Amino acid sequence: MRLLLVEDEPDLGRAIKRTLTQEAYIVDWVQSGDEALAYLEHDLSLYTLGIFDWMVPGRSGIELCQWLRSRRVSGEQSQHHSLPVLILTAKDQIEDRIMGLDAGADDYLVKPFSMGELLARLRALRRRSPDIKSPQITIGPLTLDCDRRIALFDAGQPSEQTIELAQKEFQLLQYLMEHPNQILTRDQVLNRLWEIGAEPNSNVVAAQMRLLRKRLAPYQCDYLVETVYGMGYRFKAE
Amino acid sequence: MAWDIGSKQNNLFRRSRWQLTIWYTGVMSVVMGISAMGVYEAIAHAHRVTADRELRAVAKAIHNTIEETLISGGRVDDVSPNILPNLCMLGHLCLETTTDPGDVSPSIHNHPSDVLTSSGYYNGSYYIRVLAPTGKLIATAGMNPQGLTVTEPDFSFQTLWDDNGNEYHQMAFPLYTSDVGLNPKLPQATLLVGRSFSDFATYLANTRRMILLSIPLTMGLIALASWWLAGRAMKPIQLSYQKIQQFTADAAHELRTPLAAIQATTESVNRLPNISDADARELTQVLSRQNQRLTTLVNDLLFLSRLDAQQLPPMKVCCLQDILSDIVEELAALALSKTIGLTLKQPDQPLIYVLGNEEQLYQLIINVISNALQYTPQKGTITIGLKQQEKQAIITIQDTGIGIAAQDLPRIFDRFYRVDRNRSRQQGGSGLGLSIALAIAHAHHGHIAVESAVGVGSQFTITLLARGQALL
Repeated sequence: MRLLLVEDEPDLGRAIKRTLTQEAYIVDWVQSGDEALAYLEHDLSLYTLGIFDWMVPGRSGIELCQWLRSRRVSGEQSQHHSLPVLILTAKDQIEDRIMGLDAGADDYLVKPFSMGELLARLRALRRRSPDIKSPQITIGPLTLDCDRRIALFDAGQPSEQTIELAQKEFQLLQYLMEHPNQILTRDQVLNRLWEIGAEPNSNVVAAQMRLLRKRLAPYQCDYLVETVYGMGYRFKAE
Repeated sequence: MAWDIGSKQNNLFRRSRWQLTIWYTGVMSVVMGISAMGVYEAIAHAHRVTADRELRAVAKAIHNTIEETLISGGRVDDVSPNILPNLCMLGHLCLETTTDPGDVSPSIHNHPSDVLTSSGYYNGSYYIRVLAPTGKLIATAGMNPQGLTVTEPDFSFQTLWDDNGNEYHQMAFPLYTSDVGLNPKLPQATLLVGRSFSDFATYLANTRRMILLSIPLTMGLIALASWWLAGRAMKPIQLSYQKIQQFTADAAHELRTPLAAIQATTESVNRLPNISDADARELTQVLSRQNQRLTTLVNDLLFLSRLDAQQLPPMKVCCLQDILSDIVEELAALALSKTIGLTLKQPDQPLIYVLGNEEQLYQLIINVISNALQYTPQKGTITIGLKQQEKQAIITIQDTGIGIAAQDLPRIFDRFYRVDRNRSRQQGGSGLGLSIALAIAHAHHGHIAVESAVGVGSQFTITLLARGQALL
């Protein structure tokens, strides 16, 4: 799950990114509104959630919300989901909250805040958004619990087992299972699951696929992750 | 809760305005009431005095006429009816004594022509009575005061009331006649001339009624005026209250950001399954950095409040050339790293002195120059000038920075004011630099002026009171 974080205070941004990354979010962190806009204009569909600081250099978080809403209104986003946004700010006046929410923000959190609350609010935003997939995906014998971030084999059966997955492997499996029977190119996977600017070397996707298959092999599920030669990867669903 | 504060504040101001209005109205009403009573008393007094003067003149005239007539051998009947209208003599139908000779109260019948004429030179509110030395009524003229008993004459002013409570003023005069055989030294009769004050009472009653009727109207006007006045009185208080509130909100905002960074960082490190040395080091670095920021902010706020409270440290004579040289030396490295040319143009002689606190003067000038450094792009220049004009030491700081828009100029010295609200505080500073500079300048009886053009640059001019060398 990819998230755009706009926060100009380096210490705060770093802390948020650390926790969110640990919670298996892929975080693109920018320090100015203009940079954020460039990211959003590049590929809005990449992001599942946005955390915008109100007062950042360049465009403010509020202006970013307004920009997102104007796109929503003009229908340019019909193909994709609307990006749920949480405004993170030290402005605590009631008028500010009203202004933030009216500008198109979906939630509003006042600094200083607790990480636990931030994470809970992000989960709530995910649940509320109709575009975001349900927290549980079951295809064949595999079940993905996105909230708890675990993969289960034969969930609900006496033979139920938890499949040990590293964070990246889980993210990869989730992305594949969210798009069953759909060919996902290497670039798509790379864009979706690796942070911009931290683009790893070219075989990283293939290597990660291999690792994932290895994890699934003990449950005879590795065949579900297919390589479509010359095109990409596909999660096979009967 | 935040949303309660606004309405609470409004309630507070509304209540105060009402209270002020009530007080204003009350005080004004009392003052107006006392004034109205004074005016009423003055009117009543003037009328009374005028009426009494008239009574005296009329009574004298009547007395003289009657006495002249009597002395020249005439009778009371001979007096012109202009002087004695409705004359009625004892023994006539109009005036009968009662059967009891001791009763001095005669029964006076309504005279057939009791309609009082105003053709005489005095009006119809006068009555004339002639009493025998025994006190017996022997003649009446003028109006007929119903229910006014004939009393023992007093040869001066008398105030009498009839049965209905109507007021009369009365004068008495002795009457002498030329009758032979009578002691000419003794008065043969007494003349009573009186005036009814009922017209006067009516007039005063009308005046009272008018005053009473005008009270609600006047009170209404006073209340309206008071409401308006109270509003005007509340305005500056409201404005300064809003300013304080804004300042508090801004200060809270500035304090929140480092607090949020500290909280988020500690939590994010605590959430890590294993805390590495690098994590711990980073955590302590963040803590010390944010702590430093909070300390600076709190110190700046305290400094400002101390300046506001006019707590001035000891002053001494300081040389501006020395201070400016020190500042340029300190900022040279920073300017170099930003590739900004920092030039100091000051005369070597004569030295310019001001009376002040050196540390504060240093802070004042360095704050303004730091501000210029912050808003001047790379390869720009900052020129610092110093000169003395008569009794003023003038320091100018000119930059080729981004400039300040005209609408922002009046507010750049406001606490926490940022020309670009979204601009981050990363460049350092608590947002109080220029406010502190201005506060120090004011504490030194100086001033800071600013001129600016967007895209061209700004010039700050600090004016301080110079000290001649002779005064050292």
